Order: sequence, then C-alpha cells, then structure tokens
Amino acid sequence: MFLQMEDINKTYQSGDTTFQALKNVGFALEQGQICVILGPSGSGKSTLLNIIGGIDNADSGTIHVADWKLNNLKEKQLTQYRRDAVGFIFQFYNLVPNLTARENIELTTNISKDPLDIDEILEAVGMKEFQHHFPKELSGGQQQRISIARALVKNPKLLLCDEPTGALDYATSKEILKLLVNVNKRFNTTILIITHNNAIAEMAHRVLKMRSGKIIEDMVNDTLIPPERIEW
Amino acid sequence: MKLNRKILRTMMENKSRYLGSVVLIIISCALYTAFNMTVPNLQTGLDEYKRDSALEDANFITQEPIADVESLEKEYDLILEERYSWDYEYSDGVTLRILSETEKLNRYSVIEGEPLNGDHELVLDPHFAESHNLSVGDKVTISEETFTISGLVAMPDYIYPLKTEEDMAPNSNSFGVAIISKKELQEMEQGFPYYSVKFNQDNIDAFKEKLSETNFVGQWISQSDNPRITFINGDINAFSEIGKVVPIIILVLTCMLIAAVLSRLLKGEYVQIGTLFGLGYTKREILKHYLMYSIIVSLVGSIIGTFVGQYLAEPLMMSFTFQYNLPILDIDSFILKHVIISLLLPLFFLVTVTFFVVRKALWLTPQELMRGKQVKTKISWFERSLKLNRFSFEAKFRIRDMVRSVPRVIMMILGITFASMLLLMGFTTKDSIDHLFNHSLKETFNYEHYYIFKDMQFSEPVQGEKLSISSFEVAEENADPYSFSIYGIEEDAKLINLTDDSNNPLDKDQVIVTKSLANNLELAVGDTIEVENKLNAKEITLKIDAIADTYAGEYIFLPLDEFNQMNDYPDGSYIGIMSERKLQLEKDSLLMSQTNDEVMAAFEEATKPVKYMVGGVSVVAFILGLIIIFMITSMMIEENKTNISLLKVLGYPKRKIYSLVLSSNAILVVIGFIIAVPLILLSVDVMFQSIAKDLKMTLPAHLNKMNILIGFVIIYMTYTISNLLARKRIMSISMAEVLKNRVE
Repeated sequence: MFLQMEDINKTYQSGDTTFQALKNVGFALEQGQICVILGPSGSGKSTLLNIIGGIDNADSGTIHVADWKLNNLKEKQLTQYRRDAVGFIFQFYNLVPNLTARENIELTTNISKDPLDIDEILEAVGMKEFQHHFPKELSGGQQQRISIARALVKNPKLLLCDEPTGALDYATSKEILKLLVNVNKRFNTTILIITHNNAIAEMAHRVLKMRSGKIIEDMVNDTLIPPERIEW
Repeated sequence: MKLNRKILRTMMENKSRYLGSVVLIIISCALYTAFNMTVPNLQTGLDEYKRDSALEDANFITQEPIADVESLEKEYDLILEERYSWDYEYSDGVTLRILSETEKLNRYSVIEGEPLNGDHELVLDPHFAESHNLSVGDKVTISEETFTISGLVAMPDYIYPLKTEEDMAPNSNSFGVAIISKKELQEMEQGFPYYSVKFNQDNIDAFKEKLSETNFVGQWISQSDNPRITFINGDINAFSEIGKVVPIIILVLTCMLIAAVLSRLLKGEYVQIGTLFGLGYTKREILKHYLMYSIIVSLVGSIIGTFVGQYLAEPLMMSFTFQYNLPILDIDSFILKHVIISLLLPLFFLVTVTFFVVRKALWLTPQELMRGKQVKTKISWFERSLKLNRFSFEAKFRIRDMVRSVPRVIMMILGITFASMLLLMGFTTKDSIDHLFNHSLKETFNYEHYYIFKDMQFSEPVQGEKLSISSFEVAEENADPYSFSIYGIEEDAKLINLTDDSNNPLDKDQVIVTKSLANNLELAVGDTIEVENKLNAKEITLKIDAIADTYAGEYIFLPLDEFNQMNDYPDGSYIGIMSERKLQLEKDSLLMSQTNDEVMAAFEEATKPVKYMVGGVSVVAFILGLIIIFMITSMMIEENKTNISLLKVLGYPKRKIYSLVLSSNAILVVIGFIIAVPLILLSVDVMFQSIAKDLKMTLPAHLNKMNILIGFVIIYMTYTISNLLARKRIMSISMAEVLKNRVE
C-alpha cells in the first residue's frame, strides 16, 4: 500500500474543553489513486489531511506513506518528509504575494532534491505566459494553477489538496479538477482531495465520507467520470 | 535563497515604515558618531594646544616688579615670564586689551596671516576682528601709533575671551585682545606688568610664600580658577554627557520602535510562514529569511548614518568651538570603537528582537499560522472588565482600540515623550540661563558699575560701596582642590542683596554662603569650613551663619572688617568699589572696570549659540517626532484595515472615519508631552549638576510656561501633519478588504 493509516486519534484542547477531531480513523490507498474525502465542517477532514501531510501529529495510531513511517517523527524529520514527499494545494492558494508566479514555483525547486523542469510544469498547468506576473495580477483560477505547479514541481509522491476549488467559480473549478486528473495520469501522483462538494467524488477512485471525526463511508468508484462531465 | 527576492518588494510595499526606520537609524547613528568623534578629538586637540603653547599654571600681580626672575626659576624649577597688559579704549565702550608678546609661556597660534615679525605690527583675536570688521593687513591706531594687523591668532590664556574672571560670557563687540611686541608696549609706557608661571614641581605654596616675603601678591589666578581657560571644560563635559546619552536613547528608542514595526509586519506574514512550513522549509531557513529584514534595515541605516556622522563631526566641532578662541582643531583620529558600536548596535538590537518574534511565530504549528491565529485580536481581562456602556460609540471604539494595542500605545507615548524631551532640552537650557541671569544675578548684584583697583585702597570713596575680593580654596585634608571667591562687603551694603529661602533679607554682619557654593561643597548653616587664601596661602576657618538663596556664582560674603582681619590685611583697606553711578577714578589705578550694560550685552552675546542650538534641536525633534508618530499611525491603520473598510462599507463619511481611527492618538500625544516636562527638568538638572563644578556655578533647571506651551504646539503640529499624511493611507483602503477574511 502507498498510504496506510490505522487507529488514528487526535484530540484538541481549547481551555477546559476537549475536542476529539479524529476517532480511530484508518484507511489505505494505492499509489496513483485519487481519493476524495467528503464531510461537513468539523468532521475532521482537515485534521486528517494535516496529519497525512506531516504538519500535525496524531495522538495515537500508525501512518505509513510510501517509505515513510510518520509516527513519532521528530520535527526535523517531518519537515524533511514535507519537503521530499508531499505537495500541498490550499483553498486560498497561499502564494507569496511579493514573488512572481515563476518565483513562487522556484520557492519549491530551491529546496527540492530532484525538482522537475519549471518550464515543463508551467506548460503543464497552462501558465507559461503568466510566469512573470505577481499573484495579485492573476485571477483565482490562475493563482490556483500556480499553486498546483508549485506543489508538483518537486515531483511529490503525494498531492494533498485542501478545498482546491473552494474559492473558485464553476468553470474555473472544472479546469482545476481537469488539471489534477491530468497530473494524476501524467505523473502517477497519488492525490488526496478534501472538499464539501459531493460532485467531485465522481472523478475519484476512492471516496471517504467523514462525520464527527470518523469515516462513516469508504467507497471504491469503478465508474470514473471525467471532470468536464461533472455537474453541480 | 529565492525567497529573499521578496524582501525588497515587501519593503517597497511598506516603504513608509521601512524608510522611516532607516531614517531613524541614520539620524541616531549620525548623531552618535558625530558626537563621539567630536568630543575625544576636541579634548585631545585642546590638550595638545595647551601643551604646545606652554599654557601657564597661574598668573599673578605683585605690588613691586619681580627683579630676580631667573633665580626664582632656578630655585623653584619653574618657568616665569613677565607680561604687560593694557586696557586700551578702542572706541566708546570698547576695550582692546593689549598684551605684550611672550616667548616662554602662553604662545599664540596663528589662525590667519603671519605672526609678529616687525615693528608696529599686532596680532588680534579673530572674534574681535570680525565684530569690528578688521582683517589681516588692516591698520589699527593705538594711542596715536599705527599698527598693522599681521595675523589673527588664538591665545591659550584667552580661549574664552572674558574681560574679567567674574564675567559670565565674552562680548567681542565690547572687548578683544591684541598682542604687540613687549618692547613697543613698554615704549608706550602703558599698562601694568603681571606674571605667568608654569611649575615643573609641586611647590606652588613654597613659591607663593617666597613671593610674599618681599612683595605683596595682589591677585593670583590658578589655571583651574581661570574661566578664560577652564570654561570650555564645562562645555565639553556637557557636550560629552549629551553625546553619551541622547544618541543612545534615540538609538534604543529607534530600535524598539523598529522592532515593534517589524514584529507587526511579521505577524501579517504568519500565513506565508505557515505556507513555507507546509512546503518543507525548515525553521532555520525561515528564520534566516526574516532576519534579513532587520539586517538590511539596520545595516543600511547604520552604514549611511555612521558615514554621515563622520562628515558631521567637523561642522559639529566648529559650531561647538565657535564661541571660543581656538586654533583650527582637526578631526584626525578615527575612533574605531565608536564606529563599530554605531555600525553594530542597531544590528544587534534589531536582529535580537526579530529573532525572538520569528521564533515565537515558529512555535506555532503550520496550520495555526495559516489560520492567522496570532493576527486575530485577543480580548484581555482588562478589556473585558471595562464598563464602557455609558460612553458614546466613538469613545468606546477608541478606548477598545487602545486597550487592544497596549505595546503600540506605550511606543507612541515613549516616542512623544522622547521627541518632546529633545525639543524641551533646548528650551530648558535657555530658560535656566535666562532665569539665572534675570533673577539670581540681577537680584543679587544691584550695582551699575564695578571697579577693581590694582593696589589696596585706604581712602574713603566719595561714592559707592567698598568691597574686597580674594580667591580661596578649600584647605581641609582629603578635600578635592576647589576654588571660589570670598567677598568682604560693608555691613550696610545695599548693592549686594542677599535673602534667605523665604526671600527675607539677610544681615550682612555674618558669614553668608551662596546656595550654589553650599550645594557644591555640601555646606549647611552651622558648618565650619577651612579655606586657604590663594594669594598668601593663609588658612582661615569660617563658620557658616546663613545660606543666601542665590545661584549667582560661588561666593562667601563676610563683613569687610572681618575679611581684612582674617587675611591680615590692613584695617580699612579695600580693593574694589561698586556703585550705581559712573565714578571718576584714575584709569591707571584700575585693574578693571565693568558696567552692568556690558554684562548684559555679554550675556546676550553668550546666549546666542544657545538660541541657535534651541532652533537646531527643535528641527531634529520635529523630524523625529514626525517620523515616530507617522510610523505608529501607519502601523495603527494597517491593524485597523478591516475596521476602516467596514466603516466605509457601512457608509461612514471620511471625516468620521478619520476621527474614529486617528484622533485616539491625541490623548497619547498629550500624555507623552506631560510626562516629558518633569523628565526633562530632572535630566537637565542632573546634567547641570555634573558640570556645576567646572562652570563654577550651579544652574537650577528652569522651564517657562510659555516655552512649555510653544513646545506642546510644535509637538501637536507634528501629530497633525502626521495625521494629514495618514488620511491618504486611510482613503486607499478598499471596501473589499472587509470581504476578504483570508490573506491571498
């Protein structure tokens, strides 16, 4: 298995209140799969994504991603894991505003061991002609494309997308989803997408539904629908 | 690092704050370097000048000329030189003191032109030359003889060219010094001889005793008691104190302010820091990147500031030595220690503070950072406990804004306090001197004319009041050498007015000490003090009967009869007269005469540099205040961006928004200024105390109500200008700001 997690628990303390974000969560994923995690706000999707991405630690349970065992990793090792193995795509793109589109991508190549060619990636996300624009000169969709390019250029084994279309309109969202599917096919990248949008599940190999910190449904999708045909 | 490409762009985006920071560092480093380059160079230059010109240790007048100069020199291992002095009435009310040229001691330095080289030549002090439009090559007629000015010179025994040792300040309009050859002065049969002496051994008392055996020493002025030579020391000390304290305070305040600005800017970058974390950047890489901001700001500021400071040192030295008669002193020694401090202090401060701010950010998890956790406003227990219901909406808005930004409020108050103190420093110095002159001096000495004879007088004067004055020093064991004058005055003297703390006149049949001397020697009523007459080395013990509430010099007043008796002077003798009217006295019999008008004019002249200083310091304070207020205001606007945007969306008119956001600072300006007033009085008092012994007077710090008001108006003006500049910034905030709850 490319990704395997068992009995993951995570609790947050806020003042006197304890909130259990994940309760005995476990699932496995093959390499090259697209997995969509659905669920309402507070269901634990983001916590799960953060733990898989190595930006948060589980209280208990085990997680394996490719050759990495994430349990009990020290901060330095987690940073190394994020640097080498994971690409992040955020809902609000989180581009560095004072760097051009190309420089935002270089931000990743700068610390990667074996990055892909920036021009090739810019070509792949359709942003070559905008490479010297600053984020504020780009539309939301264009910014998300750059964000995807920034995540892809390190050639990550795992791409984690946190509501990648949450801030985009219908047409642009479809473009971004199409791009993600292309990336998955072209680079055999495993992609994990968390979203509120149930329709996106139709393009994923696996669909997990979460509620109150638990996976309440784990489905395998045999009839993949290309993003351009998905409607919501 | 590619990431570092964003540094300059981020700085340009927030240029007012970064530029403000750099300018503040430039100002503080320039001031620090200039002051600290000037003071040691000035001190060294002055010491070298005194040494090279063979400055006297003392000068004195004897009743009879000394015949055996050479044998005295041999016997006491000293250098003794006779010199003639003649106060020539150059024009009405203008005295030109003609001195004979010396060979062994007090050698002059040529500033312009040539030294004396032929007959009928004279060299002149440059201040007198300038005041009377004289230059090298011009002719001057002295007692029907024509002299050519061969050069303008600095004289080591007239560094501060005072007419008398009692004068407070020189006045080149009414007094100057010229030197001609000894032969020519003797041929003119004018003036009187006096002696300059330089000791190679510590045998002053033995020498004085030897002189007193066969002669009467009418006046003895040690170098340390000669204000013409020592006045500059007090000034250098004051200058040095200001140089040590003010630039460092500016530097520390600047660093604190910039640290606050940087930390606010960093908090605005939490989302980016979180993203970088997510991308796999290590803490060290992120820290390194953000430290670059403070490194760039501090280095750019300190390098430019230190460089500017080096160039400012020379004009600063010139403006400082302007009122003195000195040769051109060069800034020739490069003081590495101060250059390093100036270059590295801002770097150290800013990097340290930024390090802690970034490290604090890096303790948060990436998801906390990306949520912008720390940017969200916390509500403190203090704010919760505030009962604001009875206030208007505007008042509540402003109070909450201040309570939520306590560090910003503190910075604002500190900044205003500092700028106000700087501004009031000039006013306080000027007011203190004015107060001393207008109250202490004028109230204590009521005479219009003051005459000192060359020899003791015995006949009863036709008009005026008799007095004697002699120089004394503390004779107690283990006491530091400290000199002051003792006056013998008539018991019914009306022209010297001495009062106690409650303004009741003091009887003059007792031993009265002025408050400035009492303060410096820590004397109280009932204390006894042993003093030694510097003319004849006679020791006497005095019991202090009263302290006069005056700061007009360091004196003890005794009844004249008692004064004569204690000093073994003949009964009924006196050395001077003070009078309300001009007296017809034999000119040759006078050592010096002085009118109150001359003192007034000299005072006016002497306070001119202070007035320029007040102007200069006010401009710097204004600029500093403006930068500080502007930086803090823009920080406040940045923090209130969402609120401002919301107010716009809700339809608030411009004026209302300005009033809500900007006017809360007005109270901080008032608070900062109010704090500054007692603080500056205290600081100036401490500064005056530290130079009191050099100046031979205690100067109580004083600040007029009018100048407090002027100071406040200036500071409030900086605030108003800063607000006007800030309005533009407020207007540029988009209404869409409030709709975005995340940073793109």
